[in-house]
Amino acid sequence: MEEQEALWITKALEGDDAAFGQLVEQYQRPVFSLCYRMLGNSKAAEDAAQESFLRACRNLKCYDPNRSFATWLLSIASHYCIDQMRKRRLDTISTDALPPEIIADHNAPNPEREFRSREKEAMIQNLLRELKPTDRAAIILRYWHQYSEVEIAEALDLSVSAVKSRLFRARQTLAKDYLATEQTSAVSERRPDESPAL
Amino acid sequence: MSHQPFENWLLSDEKLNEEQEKALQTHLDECRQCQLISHAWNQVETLMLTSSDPNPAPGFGLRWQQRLAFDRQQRQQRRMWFLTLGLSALTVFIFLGLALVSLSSTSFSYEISQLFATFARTVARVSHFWDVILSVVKSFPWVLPLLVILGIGGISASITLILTWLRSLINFYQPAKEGVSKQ
Repeated sequence: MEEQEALWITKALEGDDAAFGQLVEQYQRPVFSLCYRMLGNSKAAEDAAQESFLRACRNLKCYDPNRSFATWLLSIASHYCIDQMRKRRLDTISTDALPPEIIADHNAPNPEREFRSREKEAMIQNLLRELKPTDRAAIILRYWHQYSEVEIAEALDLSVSAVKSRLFRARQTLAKDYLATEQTSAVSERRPDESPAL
Repeated sequence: MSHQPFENWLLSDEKLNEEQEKALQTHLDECRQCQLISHAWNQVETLMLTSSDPNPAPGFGLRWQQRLAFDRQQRQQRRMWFLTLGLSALTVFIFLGLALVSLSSTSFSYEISQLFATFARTVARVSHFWDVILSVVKSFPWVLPLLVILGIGGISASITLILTWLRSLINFYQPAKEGVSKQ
């Protein structure tokens, strides 16, 4: 696979668009997934993923073959998403868009499971949106792409100790927000006519 | 109660040794706050590790090819704009410079008359050169093939130079090398 990838990169460097197209096919899922987790909606994620591939294509001659191509690509996507979030102060998920997102599809084979899955998805995105852009990128690379702290440092142009402290801070925020969400939902699940003492 | 280093241990990737594990467990049995953090983090971690990867809509690669083509077209148009603007600015600059020189040195009518005089001199010289060639051909007819070869050679060389110049212009207007589709 690595040999094939190296061949595609060499051909793409010679101007072969079809070879770069193979790289797009190969990496579209991880790049889209990263952009989706960073930006929180499919439309913005599609746009960011397309732009990341475009930037990679334009700057392919700057790619160092001694580094992992996936890390280089995800680094471009992460930086682009971080910039977008800083520029637009884009929320990961619009609060108005939440209800339709978690409404179960009754045509699905298992609507209840579908509902739970969407609910879980919405919860993850709600938790991630509380993180600062770079912290969010570090958490996404760690848990959805299984990157080590060294790889995250390489992808985000940070030192390993900076990655460690960002991951720690992000985990702390996520845990506290989860607790807050749990408490809020426990209160809202109580019936309106129920006594607070019960 | 101090929650350090227990909170660090709970929320970092650091591997704990047996002694640290024991100390953490003892602290968790006593500290409600750290228990809550530990429970919450375990839940969040499980959520993240068990969530599925979102996939792009089908046809992502095709949409990317279209975007690439559009991007290149835009870049080419931008380059054309810059070139046109640059050339226009240069032309205006040259004309303004010439006008300033004319106005500052001598009168404009004198400059125009000088221009016509130069043109007339050039025409007279070309005509004189042609007469000389004709007289040489009349006196030495064997020179004619040599002159024809020299003439054809000169014209060919000029055409080649013009074509090379045009080719370089076309290359300049075309997108960069990455824009050459081999599909």
